[in-house]
Amino acid sequence: MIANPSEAMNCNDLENLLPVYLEGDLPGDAKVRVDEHLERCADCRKALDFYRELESSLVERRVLRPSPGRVAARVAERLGIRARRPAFNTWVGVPGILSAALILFGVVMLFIRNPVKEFFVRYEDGLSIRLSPKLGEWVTQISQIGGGGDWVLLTVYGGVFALIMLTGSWMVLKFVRE
Amino acid sequence: MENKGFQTGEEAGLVAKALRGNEKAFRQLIAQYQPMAYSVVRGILGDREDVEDVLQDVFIKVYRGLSGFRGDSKLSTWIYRIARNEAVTAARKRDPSGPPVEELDLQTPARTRPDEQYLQKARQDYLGRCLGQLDENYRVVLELRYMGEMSYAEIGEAMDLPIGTVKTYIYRAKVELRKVMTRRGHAGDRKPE
Ligand SMILES: [Zn+2]
Repeated sequence: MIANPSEAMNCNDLENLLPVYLEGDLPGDAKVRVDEHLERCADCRKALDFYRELESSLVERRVLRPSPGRVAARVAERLGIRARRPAFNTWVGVPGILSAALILFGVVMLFIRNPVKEFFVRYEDGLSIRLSPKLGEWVTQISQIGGGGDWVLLTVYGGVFALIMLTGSWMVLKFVRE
Repeated sequence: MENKGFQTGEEAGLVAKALRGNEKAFRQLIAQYQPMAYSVVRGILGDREDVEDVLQDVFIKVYRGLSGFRGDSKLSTWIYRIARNEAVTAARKRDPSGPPVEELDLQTPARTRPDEQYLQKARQDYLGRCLGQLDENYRVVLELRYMGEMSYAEIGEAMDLPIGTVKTYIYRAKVELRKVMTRRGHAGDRKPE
């Protein structure tokens, strides 16, 4: 393929060598002789340009490739593998967490309301100054809004109700999808 | 346990997970080998409409054959062979979308609309048709290299060929492609004959 090293290369020699040359795969002496020929031959420079352009055109063909996600989805569909839905669905998850937090808050308030009040009140007598009397007052006030315990219970019941409704509708949704 | 076919433990894990019905692992497997499989199918079928359907067939075969894959060959070689078989089988059937590529006119696309997007599309169509004139092996290596973004070593591994042979195929493929494209007049910088 490579011409006799003592002779200058001609266009025929270069025809097969240009792609190798472009890839940087030619041994040093052959590369030098290709360079020499390219210096004085417009046709071969044109051919070299062709290969450069060809390479970028071949790369451009990548746009034809379908997205792996689409292929995977179609294959899964044809195999009967159902795409697993994310466990945390925003529409159900966010309100669910909110109502759970509500319930937790209500339950905590229900249990600590009286002990906390007494705790702070007892310590207000001066037995200890480590706990803020102001904080005690604040907690007491909060727990007595709306006449004491009723609003706390309401929060708990409301939260439980919301959670049951959400779970119910989530199960219906899941059933409908399948 | 001997697993010489797997390049990495990670890959073996992926196959094992996909086998256990882990959908995410199977999707990952598709994402990893889709460019290669697509290049093979495209290389064999050319610009046919059903290339993507055949690609899906390939991965369905991969999924079903995964339990029988013992790692006797590289995973890429195994998937390459499935892709090749599927494409060759599909090539024997008539193209549902029209005449075989070989029968299409190889004229340089006319420059009636000068906008760049149109020209690029025309150039691409023309390149696709010219690729169709090459030997199958040449088409496949070119697609694997450029469409599939694979290295010579990766192509050699998939096709079970020495790297030197892969390189020779690619160089010859380019020379042949230039002959086809310049003989018919190149849509790019060359004037039509
Ligand atoms: Zn020359």
